[in-house]
Amino acid sequence: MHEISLMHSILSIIEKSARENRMETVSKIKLVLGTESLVMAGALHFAFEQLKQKTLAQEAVLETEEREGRDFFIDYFEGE
Amino acid sequence: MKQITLKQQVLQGNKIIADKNRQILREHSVFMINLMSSPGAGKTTLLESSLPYIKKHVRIGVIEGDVATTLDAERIAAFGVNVAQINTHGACHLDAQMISRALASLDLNNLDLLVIENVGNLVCPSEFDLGENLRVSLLSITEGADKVMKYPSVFAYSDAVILNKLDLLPYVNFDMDQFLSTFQKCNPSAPIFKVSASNGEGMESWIRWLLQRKEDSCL
Ligand SMILES: Nc1nc2c(ncn2[C@@H]2O[C@H](COP(=O)(O)OP(=O)(O)OP(=O)(O)O)[C@@H](O)[C@H]2O)c(=O)[nH]1
Ligand SMILES: [Mg+2]
Repeated sequence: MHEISLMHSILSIIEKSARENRMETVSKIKLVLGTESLVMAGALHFAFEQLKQKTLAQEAVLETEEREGRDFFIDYFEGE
Repeated sequence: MKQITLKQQVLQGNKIIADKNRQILREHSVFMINLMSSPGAGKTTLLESSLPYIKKHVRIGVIEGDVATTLDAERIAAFGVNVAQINTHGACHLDAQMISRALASLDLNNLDLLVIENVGNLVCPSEFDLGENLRVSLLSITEGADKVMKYPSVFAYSDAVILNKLDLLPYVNFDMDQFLSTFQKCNPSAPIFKVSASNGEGMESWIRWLLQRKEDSCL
């Protein structure tokens, strides 16, 4: 239910890290969602499409992988 | 092309602020509990009937989390208790940052116990550490005995569950055995308190447990 605010934090973490790594665009973001984390992949993708505009990740694709457990983390991102 | 590995928990930012809240409370010797349930299960009513008893033993304050209005804060303030209202303006849960602001508005030197009434919601609040020392969930019998199975996370990560509206037991089909066995399976160590917040039945044992846990924490 709070995927929009979660995606907001994800994008700000990634933009910060991309800048630190002197990257101008982000092309891919990979997340891991624990089956017990209660985060819905569909809602995250929806939020991503809305929120990525005007960020370094505006051209990026989002990949989500489900795993057992409570984890919910940003695995990696790609760009140049 | 570069690949940057982060392996960063998305809620780590919240966790850092929650730990800071816990630290501030420790410095002021305040014990904090996070009370969670679906809308209308009786969180505010439980506080209303607990406050007169708790006030005799410790100095208590309340943080009220609601999407909108100050109605619950007004109900609590009527008991002469320090209360801070947080309006989330649509958000379905409280987060550690909101609690950090509320802590700044309270006189922590004059408090021993702080109760957070979370936003009525059985799903989202349980994901967010607020810096509490204890988590208590509430279920009212009118919601049905299957809720533990349908919304396991809030119940699985609670230190106790309060089963409320026991006075309505004769009027609703509540399968007590199903509730007890599913709860014990999902959270074997947490005590279950059966109460009626509106007529006061069962209140003493939950309050005694709460005050004992506060004492055991040495806060
Ligand atoms: N019969 C009965 N009614 C109760 C009991 N506890 C609460 N209620 C009623 O349930 C309704 C909701 O109670 P609240 O205490 O406002 O519930 P809440 O969990 O604080 O609700 P939100 O803050 O909106 O999530 C009120 O009409 C209460 O009078 C109880 O033990 N028995
Ligand atoms: Mg309430």
